[in-house]
Amino acid sequence: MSLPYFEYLAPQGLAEALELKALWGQRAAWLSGGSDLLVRAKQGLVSPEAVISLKNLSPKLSGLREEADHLRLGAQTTLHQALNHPLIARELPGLAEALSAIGAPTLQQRVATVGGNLCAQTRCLHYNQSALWRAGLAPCFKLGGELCHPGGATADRCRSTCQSDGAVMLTALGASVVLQSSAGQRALALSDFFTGQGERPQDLAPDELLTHIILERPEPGLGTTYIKMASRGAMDFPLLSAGAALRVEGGLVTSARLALGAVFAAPLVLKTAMDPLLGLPPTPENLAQAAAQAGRDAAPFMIENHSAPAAWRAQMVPVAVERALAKAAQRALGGV
Amino acid sequence: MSPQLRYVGQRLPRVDSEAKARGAALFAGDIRLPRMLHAKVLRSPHAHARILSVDYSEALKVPGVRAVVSGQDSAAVKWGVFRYTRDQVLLPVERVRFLGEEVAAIAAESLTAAEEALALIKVQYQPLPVMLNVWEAMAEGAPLLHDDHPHNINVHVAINVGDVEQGFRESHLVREDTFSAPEDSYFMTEPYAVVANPLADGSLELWMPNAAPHQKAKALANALKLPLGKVIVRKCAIGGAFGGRSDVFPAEFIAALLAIKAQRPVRLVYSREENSLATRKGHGMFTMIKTGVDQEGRVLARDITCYMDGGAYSSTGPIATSVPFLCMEQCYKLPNVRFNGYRVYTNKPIGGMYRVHGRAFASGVDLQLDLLAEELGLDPLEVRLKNARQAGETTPTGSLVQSCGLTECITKSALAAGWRAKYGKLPPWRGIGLGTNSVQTGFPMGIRGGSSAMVKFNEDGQATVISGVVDNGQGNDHMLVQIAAEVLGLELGDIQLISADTQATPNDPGSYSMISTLAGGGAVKAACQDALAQLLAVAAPALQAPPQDLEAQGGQIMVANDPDRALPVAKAVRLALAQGKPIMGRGSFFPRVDNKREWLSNPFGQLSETFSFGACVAEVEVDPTTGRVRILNLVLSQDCGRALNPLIVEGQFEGGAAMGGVGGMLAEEFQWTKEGRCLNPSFLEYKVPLACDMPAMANIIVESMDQSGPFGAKEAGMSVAMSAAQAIAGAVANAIGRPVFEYPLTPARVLRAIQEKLAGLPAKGPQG
Amino acid sequence: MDKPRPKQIFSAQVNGQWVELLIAPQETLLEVLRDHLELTGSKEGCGEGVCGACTVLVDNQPRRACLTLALEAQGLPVLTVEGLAQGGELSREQRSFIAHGAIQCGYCAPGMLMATRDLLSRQPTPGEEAIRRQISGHVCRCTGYAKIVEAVAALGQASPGEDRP
Repeated sequence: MSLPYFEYLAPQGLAEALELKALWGQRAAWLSGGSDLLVRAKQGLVSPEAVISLKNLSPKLSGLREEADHLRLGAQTTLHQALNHPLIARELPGLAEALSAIGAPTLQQRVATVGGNLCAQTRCLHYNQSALWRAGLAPCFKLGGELCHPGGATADRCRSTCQSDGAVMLTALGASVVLQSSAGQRALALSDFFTGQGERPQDLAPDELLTHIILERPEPGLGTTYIKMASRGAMDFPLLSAGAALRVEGGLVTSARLALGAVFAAPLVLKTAMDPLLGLPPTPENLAQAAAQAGRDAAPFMIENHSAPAAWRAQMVPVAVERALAKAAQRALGGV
Repeated sequence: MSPQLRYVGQRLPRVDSEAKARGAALFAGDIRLPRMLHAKVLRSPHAHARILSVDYSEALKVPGVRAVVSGQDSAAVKWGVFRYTRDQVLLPVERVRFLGEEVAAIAAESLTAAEEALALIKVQYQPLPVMLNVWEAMAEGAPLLHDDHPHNINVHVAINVGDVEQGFRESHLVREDTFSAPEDSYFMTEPYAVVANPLADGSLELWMPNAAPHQKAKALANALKLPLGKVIVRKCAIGGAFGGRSDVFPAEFIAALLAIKAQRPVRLVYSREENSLATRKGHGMFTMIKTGVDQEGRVLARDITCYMDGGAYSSTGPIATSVPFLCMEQCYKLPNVRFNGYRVYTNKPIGGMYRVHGRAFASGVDLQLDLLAEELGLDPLEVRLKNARQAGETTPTGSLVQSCGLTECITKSALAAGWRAKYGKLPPWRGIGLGTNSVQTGFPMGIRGGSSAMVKFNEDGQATVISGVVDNGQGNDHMLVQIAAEVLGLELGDIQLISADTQATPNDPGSYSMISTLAGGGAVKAACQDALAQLLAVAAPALQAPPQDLEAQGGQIMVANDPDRALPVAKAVRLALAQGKPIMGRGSFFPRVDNKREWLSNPFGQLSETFSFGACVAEVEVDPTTGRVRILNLVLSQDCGRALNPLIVEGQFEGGAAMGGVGGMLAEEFQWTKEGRCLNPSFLEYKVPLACDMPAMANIIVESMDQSGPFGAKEAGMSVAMSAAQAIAGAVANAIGRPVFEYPLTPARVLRAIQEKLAGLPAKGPQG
Repeated sequence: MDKPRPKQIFSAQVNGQWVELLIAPQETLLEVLRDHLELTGSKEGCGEGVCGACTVLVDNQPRRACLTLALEAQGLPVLTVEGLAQGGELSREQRSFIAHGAIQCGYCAPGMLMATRDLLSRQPTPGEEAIRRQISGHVCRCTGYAKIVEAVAALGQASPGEDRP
């Protein structure tokens, strides 16, 4: 499969990169690891006139810096680098689980970046297909059309889903991102960064670059985990995933955040299901109740847009959530 | 022949491995010729449509475009494996019948130019109603995909042996179940590719991954109206076939047309998606099985009706429809049996033979036997043994089974897996299952059913073997070289191999249907024996010993029991040349089959000269909350006659278990949209097993020493692929305490079965 | 073509040799290796980064050449399967794959060999689980992976089943 023509730009520094992007705007695409962009370009889903490579920016935009009250992770940090950072491996096992669940170790994890994972497009079994596949088929919402193939006649919007493992876990961790342009920078909580619109899943202006991810410092009593349900042990995008961050102090849950992947265009944050846990001990019964509520909350989002049936995926929500909460609680209480 | 075998039975690295390890082996898509053009195919975006017009005038104007072809250029040449199944116009003129079917093609100086021009071809279609399963296609009033096939039934195989109704009446217990599975797919790692090169003398050279160079050449010669000698299919490295490259595709026809039109070499490389949709796929199947047994679990009667979704054209249809039944009748004693196999045309890509052809058939047969055994309070292992085929018996359709190690396979696998300690005694959600199967070594193919070989000697004492056998990756090249080295008493490195090149090599049936070792290996063995006899005759006077006292070993011809009296082979070769009697061996092997046997009109008589048998035991664990199946262990065994090279045989077992068992029974299936688009033509969404998904596997090689096979060898690998699927189906049923009738056993299907069981609902097969 | 499409100079050290070529900016490393340099050992099995047959090492890092723009490898050392053997002598990975019967059709072998080189350079005695994890981004349809795992394990002198730190 060959790529359509585009110009290749490899700015030497951040300022030059941002100027170029300001100049080209939507006509140019950032090129990081390439595994999302270039596949879609080959399939004709996206046709940038130029790609702006971030390879020369990597040294400056990678690595984890521990600051007073937070962690600052360069967006160009490869998954492999992040996984090998002692702090992540030791204190954020949920994040390590999510990043190590992406692609396969030899390949994606060495090249793919955490920022790239956050900027990955939402996916759909009817969208991530070739030009031959789509020939003779009306374009869907995500391609600028007026319909959603799996959503059917009543769908009024794109029903593609966020299948980025990193996005789901980082959302559960309450992370935010720094977006920079030549005009300045802004910070955005991931829950705002992800728009929930499949047509345009990230709130990223054409002149902006995601440069950093800001994470809260893991506090004592924090337990994190990531559960991924996929067909195979590697390579696959999730059919369903759950990232959980639970803080337990004095035997009681003081913070409970949970996000689901592969359900909605953004990581689906289940606040109403988690809030009742606050102030309660993380007993199996309490966690099961929260998981059951999560199942009810997620049910309306389930349609046939994945390779596994929606009915099974719906049934798996409480299972995945309960497993994630149990593991997170165990870790919060000092287990592994 | 040497009294002691030096190579047969040794674990030897394959002779073709080094070129592959170096990246030097050339696959078709690696071949580049001077002035070569690049081709792309325009495909139908409709699963069913009338072609109203094709206009490629604008495409011709694109700089770099050198040739365009569409149906108008093809004289509507039709292809079919049999005279009576010629139903596929290689470049359709009037109608397209599946999404992705070839409509036109372009050859240009660059792929970019070809792609650009492709977009300028204007095709007007009139969409027609789409039928995407056998029920829609057979429905009253459904439009006919091929006018001469009522109800869209492409093939009906009808076999009725004994008195099935009487058998059921005499049965103590009768069960009737329906099993189904959607299409599976080959996903050989190499996507299809063709290079066609027109030569100045009017002949045409071609390279493509194939399973039968001589059959490709014959079909293309017919299609292109060229003498057979002018169509030369050359050898190249081949990245897997698994049954999916057995017959003729439009790709080679199109590449040939373009090359002839442009008078330039043309290379056409398929994308992964094109390989999935526009070569072959497996058959979707519905199988209704009714079995009657006596109190001891002996099968008295069986009646099977199977509907296979064949896709748009016939391809190997009559064979594909028969094989699942044949595998079963070879494997089990069946006094009374009836089979009605229907292959149905639908608007899907073309169904072909597959290494695990008929998972919803074979697994159904075995699972139903398990259920019958359970109802009778018998151990399924005992029931298998009671029904297992034995050497010397004749199958219901009249094939004598001359060698059979099935009982040994079953008992050894069961022993290694700890069957008796585990069956019925495993903790909850753990299960154990047994699958057994048998495959053919070739089919009656008339004048094309045999293989011939030659061997010539060079002055330096090295030999060149010339054989039509093709290597798809399974190790056929090595098999031929190893046999030759064994017979000729030479080192592996002393044997050069010319194979699978229709200009140079004599006819061979092809490497499908597991015939290569028996026929191709047998022919090479015979040719080498012929050459050896000539060598010994020349050496005898020099060594002052009668030829029958001589043997060849280590490059020497020596007097048996007197190694001091020896003559180097090189010297014997030169002696022969000096006498004007160059050493030229020839040999052939034509399997003893009944050539009057015909798939539809006369499905009786000797099918193959010999058969292989396999058994697999699987142990699984099921997560009752998610339905996910984890395979804990697979014990694989097969009677391969004799393992010429156990390293290769084991590789066939392990690969077969991955494809048939782990992938085929747990995850692999094509999914379709209602318009006939395949939702998962890619490596990402079609779930071929990965290294991290594979269980522990143990191999047990059973050797029945077949009387006809070279050194006793039959075939290796396919029985395992099938029996692994059957074993896993049985193990999952055993683990969850209820049969699952729809395959593959994805978490969703298994969980549904568990939940229906917990809800007290009856176990039901799929509804047609 | 409605407007000119300028080419760019690509220069890299491929299998120890500096090469300089004029390429289109959107060309992938796989296209440059196979079509320009005629190094056809690296294969395209899917073109979308899943099968792993195109894996090469760029600056000692495994990359899927089908999803790597050649210009991303500008100025860097690139190692392909053709570069594994030194002076005609097979590398130890190649020898082990051959000896263990890890190569059947051979289409996945170039990628598997590069993944093996990468793993051993970071983890000299990997256990079975580490090996399976490393090659889980590479599809083999012939072997069921067993002989490949054995071939890699033999290089680390760890037998399959025992995981070493």
